[in-house]
Amino acid sequence: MKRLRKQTLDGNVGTLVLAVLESGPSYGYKIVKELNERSEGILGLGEGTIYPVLYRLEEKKVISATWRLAENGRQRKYYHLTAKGRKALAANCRQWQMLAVVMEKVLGSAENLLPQSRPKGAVI
Amino acid sequence: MSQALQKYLDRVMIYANRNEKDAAQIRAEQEDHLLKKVADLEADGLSREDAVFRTIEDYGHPRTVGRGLRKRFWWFSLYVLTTIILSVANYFLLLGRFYWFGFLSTWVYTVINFPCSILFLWLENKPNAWWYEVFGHRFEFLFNDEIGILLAGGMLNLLQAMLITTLLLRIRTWQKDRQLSLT
Repeated sequence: MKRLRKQTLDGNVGTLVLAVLESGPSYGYKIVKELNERSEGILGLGEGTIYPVLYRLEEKKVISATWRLAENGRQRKYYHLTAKGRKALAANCRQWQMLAVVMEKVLGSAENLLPQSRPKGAVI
Repeated sequence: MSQALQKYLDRVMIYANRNEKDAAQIRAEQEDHLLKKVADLEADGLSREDAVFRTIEDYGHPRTVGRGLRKRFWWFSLYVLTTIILSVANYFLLLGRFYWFGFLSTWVYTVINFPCSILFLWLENKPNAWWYEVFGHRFEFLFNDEIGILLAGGMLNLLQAMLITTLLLRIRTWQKDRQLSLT
């Protein structure tokens, strides 16, 4: 399966994490799992790479964290969205919608760009 | 916790380069992640050994993970500290040249500021006319050889501090790599 390139992802993983946390508090492992599940594997996020993103978001105060006792008896760090985070997520979503509209207007619909749906000899 | 996971985390934390308090919290979080993943994989039917191997593989190379966990711009504080120490040292060394130990001062200055010191000592002997030639007569009203050498000295100081910081960072990386090869 094809995966997204790092450059395409740069700066956008934060928004994806915020989107996952919108549905409720979660912890690192579960966030990665959910991101990979929701993206059906296209995202292919290295599990260890989620923490720098989480710490950066925490520094920006768009998420905050609390340690709680997990089912295995260990302390687990749960992250949740702050009010600032909700605003940031809404703003980022608007930006993405606008970008998607621009891309579609300029390039045509995404389905037409996939090689298998392009007629033979067609040039993009 | 398996020894392989402990060793893996040791490596990650060496590259992460965080202070003790931060390191303990980060490690606890990473540990929880790895153990949860191993438990999930074991529940999926993998043997303990395979689950640990797969967990480490999915988590990423210790260098990549560890470097990602470093504080952003952590090197900047080292640069600022180097600049301050170097500036103070240079002030006394350059002042010392006017006293009986002047020769020794010049040599110490040359050595700790190499290669920028060579450029500074060369610029220092340039007369007013040379500075006007370089910067044009437009700035004649605010420029003379003393101001010129002060600005040049300041800039060379910043540059030298950058070189020393880079060197210190290289030494630190080399030490970490050596530490890892011994574990």
